[in-house]
Amino acid sequence: MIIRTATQKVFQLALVSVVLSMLACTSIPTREFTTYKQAFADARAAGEQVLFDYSAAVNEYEMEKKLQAEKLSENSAPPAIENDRPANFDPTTGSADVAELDDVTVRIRAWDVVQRYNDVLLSLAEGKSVAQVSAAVDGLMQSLATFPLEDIATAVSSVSPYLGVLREVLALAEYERSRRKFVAAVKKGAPLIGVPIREIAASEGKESFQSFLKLLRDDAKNFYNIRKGLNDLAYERKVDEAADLRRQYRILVLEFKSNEDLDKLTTEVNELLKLVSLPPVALTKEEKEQATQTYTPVIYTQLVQLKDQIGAKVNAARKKTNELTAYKTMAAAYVKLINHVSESLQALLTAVERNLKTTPSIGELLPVYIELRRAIHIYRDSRGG
Amino acid sequence: MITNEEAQRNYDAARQALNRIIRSDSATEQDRQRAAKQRDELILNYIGRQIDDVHTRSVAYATFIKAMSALIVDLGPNRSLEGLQTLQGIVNEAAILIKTVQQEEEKRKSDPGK
Repeated sequence: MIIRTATQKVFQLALVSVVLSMLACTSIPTREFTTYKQAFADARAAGEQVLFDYSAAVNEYEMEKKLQAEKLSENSAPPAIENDRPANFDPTTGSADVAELDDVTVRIRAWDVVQRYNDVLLSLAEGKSVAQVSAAVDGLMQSLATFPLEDIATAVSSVSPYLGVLREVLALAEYERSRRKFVAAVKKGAPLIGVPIREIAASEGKESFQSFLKLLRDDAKNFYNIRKGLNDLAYERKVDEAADLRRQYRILVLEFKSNEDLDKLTTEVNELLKLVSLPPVALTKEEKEQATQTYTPVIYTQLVQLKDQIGAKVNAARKKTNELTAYKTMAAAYVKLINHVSESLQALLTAVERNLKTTPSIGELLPVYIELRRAIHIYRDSRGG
Repeated sequence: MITNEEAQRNYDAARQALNRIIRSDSATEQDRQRAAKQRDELILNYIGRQIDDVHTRSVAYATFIKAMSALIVDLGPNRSLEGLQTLQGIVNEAAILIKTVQQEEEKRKSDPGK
């Protein structure tokens, strides 16, 4: 009994040293992985906001198109009755596939699938399966210990003192398997998600596959252009209104002889017009000479009102410019987050590859295996003895 | 085929040209209205093309989802865990089978007449 206990201790000590040896040389790049996960979470949160805004922008566009169509139908002959027969089919464009895809849903799913991949990585990094394997070993041994054949149950009970050792050996193997799987997952997943190297290859035309991050970047450009288009529409209409008021102001001011008050007011109007790149109310020498009337307080009030109205339109137009500038800043920050995901993924991939190179060779592991074999011999001797 | 940058420049140039007519002191009201209508159409067409680009890219997203899902499936099963669980399942089923046989045997022994 004393011999057996001593043997067990030797065996367990040997195994613990094996486990420690292997753990020391097989580590997952936790820091890089944490940075990547955080970068992805930030980019995803921003990406979803950008997608919702895109969805709202498409609705605005559809409403605008409808308004335009209504305006057209007021001024022209009624449109031809719409026909629900399908248009021409072009198999080269893959239009049949595209038609079935909802643009927002497919993008949300793409974010989801990367999140699922990250969850798998996390599970491998945390070695969750190690605990599961240990529990499964216990479960198996429990089943064997209560097996209805006496020989088996007895055999199991004689092995049971070494159950802890067996569990540790299997846990060690599972840890190693988990680590290798993590490495393989990063190496396979990184090019799909999009590390910078992949992007360079794609830009050189060597790669036809478009990575997720490249798709996001390309989207960001279109999303900005859509917002810019809608903004252009609103901005130009405000400037048109300011231009109409400018013309009214010009026609009115032309009738009156130049004087200090009028010139000052016109200068103020010109300052406003400059803000939206409209030409100044510039009167030629001939036009000034043709003016015959002297302005009255009523006319002056009218001109001031026109100036105020111009000011309001200019402010509304500038508000639109500010909105677009804010969107551009947001889009730039979003692309920065995408780039951060790309960089952190590249750092993770590099760390994983470096880690692979530092994985101990068979030669380096030889002493560990010898120690393990010695422990097994001790175990066998103890059983035979 | 023109590049995106060229298309962007053309759009800006056309918009500005139409704006000059709309805001000109010498243009007639009819000219201004026609130019404004054309400019609005130009902008709406421009937005429509951007939305088309986004829609076309959805196919590439679907391809990506397919590739990524295949990778996740590939990473999925834990064979050593599954092996242990299968083994335990076999042991449990065998135990039930043996117990049933043993019970039948005991019954037969206690009641030899049957």
